[in-house]
Amino acid sequence: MGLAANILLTFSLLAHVSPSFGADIPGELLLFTDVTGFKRSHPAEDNGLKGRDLVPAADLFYSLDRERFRFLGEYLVDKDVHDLERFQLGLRTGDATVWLGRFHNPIGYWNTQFHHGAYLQPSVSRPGIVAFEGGDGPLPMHLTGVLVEGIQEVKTTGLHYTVAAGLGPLLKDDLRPFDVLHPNGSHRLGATLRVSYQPVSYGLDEVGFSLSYTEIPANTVEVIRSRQSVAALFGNWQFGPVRGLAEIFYVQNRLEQPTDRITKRFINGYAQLEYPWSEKWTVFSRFEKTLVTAEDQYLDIFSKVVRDRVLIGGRYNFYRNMALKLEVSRDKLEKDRFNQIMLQWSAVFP
Amino acid sequence: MFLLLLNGYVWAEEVRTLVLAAGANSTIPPLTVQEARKLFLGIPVERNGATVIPILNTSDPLLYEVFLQKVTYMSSPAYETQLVSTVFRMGGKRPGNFVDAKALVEALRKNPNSVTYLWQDQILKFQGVKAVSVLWTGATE
Repeated sequence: MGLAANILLTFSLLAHVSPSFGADIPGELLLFTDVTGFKRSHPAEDNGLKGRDLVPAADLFYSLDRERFRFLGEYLVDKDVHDLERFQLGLRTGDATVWLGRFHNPIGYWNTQFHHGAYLQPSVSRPGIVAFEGGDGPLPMHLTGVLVEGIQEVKTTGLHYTVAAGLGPLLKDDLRPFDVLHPNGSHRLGATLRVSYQPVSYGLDEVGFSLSYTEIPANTVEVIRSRQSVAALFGNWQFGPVRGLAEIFYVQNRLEQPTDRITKRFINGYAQLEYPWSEKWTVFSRFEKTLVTAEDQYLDIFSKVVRDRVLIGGRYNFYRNMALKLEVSRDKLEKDRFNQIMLQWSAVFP
Repeated sequence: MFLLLLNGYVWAEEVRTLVLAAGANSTIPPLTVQEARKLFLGIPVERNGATVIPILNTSDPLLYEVFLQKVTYMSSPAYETQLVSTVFRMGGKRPGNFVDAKALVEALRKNPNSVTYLWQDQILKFQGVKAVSVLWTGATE
């Protein structure tokens, strides 16, 4: 049986999963699944990018509360990767939670809001700047250590804060986060502070900033270590019927090279607009742009990361837990540019 | 004449009160609308040293609609997505859901830390439950 037939069979089985699936299990069990197909027009062969592919993925999430303790785990399996994404043990104290373990680096907005939950993500693709480490992303998306998150509420408004410190990634031909199941390598410390304001706490509208510092040991020809600082501003806001989501990142890498020390900086930003055409249909568009010097010895390592992109797409929600998304984009990489069309089915169970 | 018509129109709309309800043996103190909103968005709320357990009541479509509008400020699809999103980011558990009012009342009686929302007049109808706080009062068509 071929891959496509397997996917169709899986889809038809999952479509009949009962809403009460998992109801008898203590805690919360969520299964995010998606199948993403894409086709690119003439990507350069030396990039190692495929012209077309079909990628099924499943992300299993589990959370359990016992008194003031909370456990949270997430395991991802897709065609190329299987990874313990998160493994956290938390202690709730009032409106704050102290976590130990491996968690999503609270850098910016997209990374903490959607991550591997494709169904929750409005578009098919992630912005290039927040691409996953193994997917040629240039920023640390995971840390392993301590995370404290909480909220200060004043009437209906909320000021959220998150402080994280832990082991960051290594840099080889791409970033490699600390692997809890196979711990090795000399990972170094990273830290992030994230603060955001919500006019209605735990609502959708949110503005804020994050500041990160990560020491990234490297094993490449040009770089042996990077001290990376990232400042991000973000906002997700409703303007009449339109929802706008934007982030801007300022990234500075102080690079240690075999014979030199240099500092390189780049700025990346994106803005996404979503318009609900009807109860089931949403159309969206995103613009991404990177401002970078002609030669950035850090960013140039990530030759497959999308630097600039213009996309439009549509999302159709059906049943109560599934979405079909179509996205057409013009992508620019360091040394390549192409058109891309993506189609994705995604769901969350139960 | 206009005032009479207007008066008649207002009377045609029924003034109802949405309350947070718990089992009669519950010691949960009154919660504000904001606290109830947090609770039903999957955020832990503790009272008297115990975690309050929210239960969704979908036995009455109008009741559920008013709850969504006046407490969560969201549509049904947006609320469901937000619940999944909150649990996915922060852990926890989504509220249980009862479509049968009698089974819901039974669940409230069994667990004194659990709460749901009911019309105030239902409190009199169902024995063994009580109103904890008023969430909203207004006219429903």
